[in-house]
Amino acid sequence: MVKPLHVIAALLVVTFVCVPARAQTTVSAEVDVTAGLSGEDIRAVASQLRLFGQAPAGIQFFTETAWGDRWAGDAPLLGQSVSGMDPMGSDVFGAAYPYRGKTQLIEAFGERYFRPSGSLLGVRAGRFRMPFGIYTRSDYGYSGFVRPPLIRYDGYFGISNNWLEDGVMFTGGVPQLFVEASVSRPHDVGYAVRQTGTDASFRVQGYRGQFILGASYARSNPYLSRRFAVGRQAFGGFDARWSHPAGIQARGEFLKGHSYEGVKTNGFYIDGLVHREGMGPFTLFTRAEWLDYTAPSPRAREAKRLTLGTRVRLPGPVTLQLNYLRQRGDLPHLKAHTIDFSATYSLRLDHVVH
Amino acid sequence: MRSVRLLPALVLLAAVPVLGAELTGTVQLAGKPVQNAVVWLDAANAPGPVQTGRIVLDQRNLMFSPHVLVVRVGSIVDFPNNDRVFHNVFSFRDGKKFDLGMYPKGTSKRIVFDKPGLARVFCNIHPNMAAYVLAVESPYFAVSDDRGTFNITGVPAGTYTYHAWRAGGGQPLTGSVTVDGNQPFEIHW
Repeated sequence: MVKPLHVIAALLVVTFVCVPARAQTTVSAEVDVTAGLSGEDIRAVASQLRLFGQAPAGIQFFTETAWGDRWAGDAPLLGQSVSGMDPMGSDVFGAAYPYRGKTQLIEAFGERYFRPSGSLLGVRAGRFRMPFGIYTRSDYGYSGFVRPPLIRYDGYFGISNNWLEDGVMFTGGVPQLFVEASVSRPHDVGYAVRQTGTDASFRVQGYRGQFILGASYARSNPYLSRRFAVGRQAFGGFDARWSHPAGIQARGEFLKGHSYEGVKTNGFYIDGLVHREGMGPFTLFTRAEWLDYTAPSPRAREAKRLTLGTRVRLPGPVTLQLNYLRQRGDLPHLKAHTIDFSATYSLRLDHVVH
Repeated sequence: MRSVRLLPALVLLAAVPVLGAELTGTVQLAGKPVQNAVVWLDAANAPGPVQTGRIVLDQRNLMFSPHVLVVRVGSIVDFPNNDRVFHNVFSFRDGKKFDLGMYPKGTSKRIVFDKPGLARVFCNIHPNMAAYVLAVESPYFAVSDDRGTFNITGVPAGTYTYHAWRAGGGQPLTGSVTVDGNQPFEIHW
């Protein structure tokens, strides 16, 4: 039996190969090594290797492999027995990558963009993050926040930055207004692993002046066991970014939906980032967020968190991240007030194939 | 009919005098070629347009291209985002200071480099992205290639003060050079 994804993959191969090449071939390698320490008595070490560049026929490719592990002192393992929950009961250092003590392929895709008559058309095939809200690795891996938003972590009944898709994604429109849509199967790398099935997502993005606005909808399968979680997972959301030439940015996401039938999840986060002339290597930021999970008692959860932090780009390839958090609510957390610190060494090599 | 149309163009081409000489040379550091060194000649009042075409500092594959860009003061530089992700291009330290904010793939912003100096350009999201834009008060400039060679064309014959700059902390060099189209010019750090 020929599966739809196989047909799409074959069409993509034909599309990629039959279009004449123009750009030169480049390969870049980027290695990050991060070490972190949290006031919740958790330590972490992680590394990522990225290979990306421009292949023949104008195809851009991107692959990322990651390894990470964490160690807790005397802290309890709050989520150990809960399906999909981080066993340490803390999302610290989980902004963009899982910490499962093993090497994992995170993203691996090829993509090709076309610009006929000023429009924007693109196709991506491989493993990628679902186009929903603010979703790219860049948005979370470099910002300086050590933790992910509450609406984007394993086991919090929202969506997760550790959720990946094997499939295809299409982009169409003009740069000021375009649509991204994907059809895929889940390939999750964190603790919350969704049931297999067909996933679909749709996002529209508009850009005007200093504003970038997006609206998203995604359907997938629950990450909890079918014994508890029946039906499909479905989320809708809005995202926005605003940036001012004076070095001030704001961004945020609002999410609403359900991770299975009979429950509801609402949540949002708003980030503010300041990097102005005179601040040198310092970027200051803050995040306010809220997550509400409505379910039959006693499973309902609510959590709030405020983060203040700074990111320091030292001369050379070292970046420091310092976060202060005030958090409260029913989701697992070890301390109401805590400080997270991490340091990242980053190295990049570029090669042009003549 | 076609030859009749081409005739005025050929006559015009033949009547155009050679506008200047070439200054060709190499840039070396400790005997090795230096890529992306900028060489320019003082000629603040030189005639000619500020720029003759679109000047682009591209963002693609999480890098700026070219890594070193030299422009005449007053030039407009386009910063298109041809990447799959957002960038936040800024330059706060020296030269032209600006912050372009975020803009999506397929769109572009532009900056007028209206004062001389070196702008160190970074992305506030991606730590490994960096580039230099050097604005000079002269139309006579060039960037060395991977063999360390450079070629400045259209320079009226004469003696000029030259400047050479390279990334990596070396002191800019200044000296005198006679442009007559004959002697290759060697610059040593």
